[in-house]
Amino acid sequence: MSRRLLLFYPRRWRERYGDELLAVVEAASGGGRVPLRIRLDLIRAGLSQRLRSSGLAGDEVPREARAKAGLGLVLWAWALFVLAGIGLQKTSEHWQAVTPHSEQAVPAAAFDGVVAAAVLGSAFVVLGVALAAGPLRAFLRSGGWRRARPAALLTVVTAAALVPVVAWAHHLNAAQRNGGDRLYELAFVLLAACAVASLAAWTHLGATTARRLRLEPRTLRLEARIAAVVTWTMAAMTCATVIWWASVASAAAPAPRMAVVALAMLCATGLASAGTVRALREAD
Amino acid sequence: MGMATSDPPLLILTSLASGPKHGHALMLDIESFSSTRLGPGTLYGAITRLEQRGLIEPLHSDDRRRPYRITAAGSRFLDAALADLKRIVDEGTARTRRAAPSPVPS
Repeated sequence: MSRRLLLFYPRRWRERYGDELLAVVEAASGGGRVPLRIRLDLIRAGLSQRLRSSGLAGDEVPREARAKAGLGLVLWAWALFVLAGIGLQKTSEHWQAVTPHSEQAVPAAAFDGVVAAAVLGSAFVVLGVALAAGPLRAFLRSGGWRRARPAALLTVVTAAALVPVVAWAHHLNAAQRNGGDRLYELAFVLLAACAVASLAAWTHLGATTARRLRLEPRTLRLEARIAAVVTWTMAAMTCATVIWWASVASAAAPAPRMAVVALAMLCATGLASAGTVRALREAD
Repeated sequence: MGMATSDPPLLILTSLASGPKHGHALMLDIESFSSTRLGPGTLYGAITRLEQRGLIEPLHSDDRRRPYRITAAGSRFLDAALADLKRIVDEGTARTRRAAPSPVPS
């Protein structure tokens, strides 16, 4: 049990302090079952140590690494927001058909707001990558491209799976595509899992690569400001989504699905805010 | 690093001021003089930070129970922290005495 609890700590920390900590846990537990109080303490302390080691909390790593950790968190938040956005897009496919025409002005404006903020946010994410293009090229030339292989492989698998699933969907009617055909549903879930894994792999690559790049202090400050703009667009999209949800007919936006979408957007915006604050504070 | 009397780094430095101790001995000693029961995770989180700042250092050990001792920098830090605490205690005591309730006018 105690050894499993150590998994909450970063690997390097475990290598240095793991055995010592286990000896203390065993002594404090009298050699028996580890009390809940101690288990919770280990989980909290382990997660806290992970945050410190990654640069997201404390001041144990250099300032530049702390700022980059904040930027990495914003990138992860953006990826989560993209998933929530896909959920919103899927949920909102037919909202105009089930909402009376006279009641469409507010939701239409809110939805346009979501789209506009999404375009703006995406443009700033691309700008953030473009700003680091020079150091990124140097990193890739020095062999860094090898790190992209898992993400590229997952993307190829997703693309290869997408073709037959789309072809299959064209032979099904709307009812079959929306839960009527169990086999198709399973294929769709597997495809979605591949897509999520690809997105996660690219995001992980982006965040870890950013940590390795040699960025000028001025570039780092600019990146932190770009992260702030991206976070604002996420907050705007979250607000516009909630307005859209509140103003359309319940048939247009099923509550359980929309609740998940809104919660994911809120979480992503919260994470991005924390990352932006960290990046701005440490980059300046 | 904070100054509260339940601040784990301050409690660990205070405990190590009387000699090297390993993790479990630290927990028992701290509980005996401050009535603060540190969890193993909290204890080692503070030990990690103190060691990184050079305020304590590990000693060689043949078993898993590695003892730690306070460094010269750790002793200076502890002296400064206790002096700060003493100033607050003295000021608080003086203000409490000055603010003692005066007799109610009849």
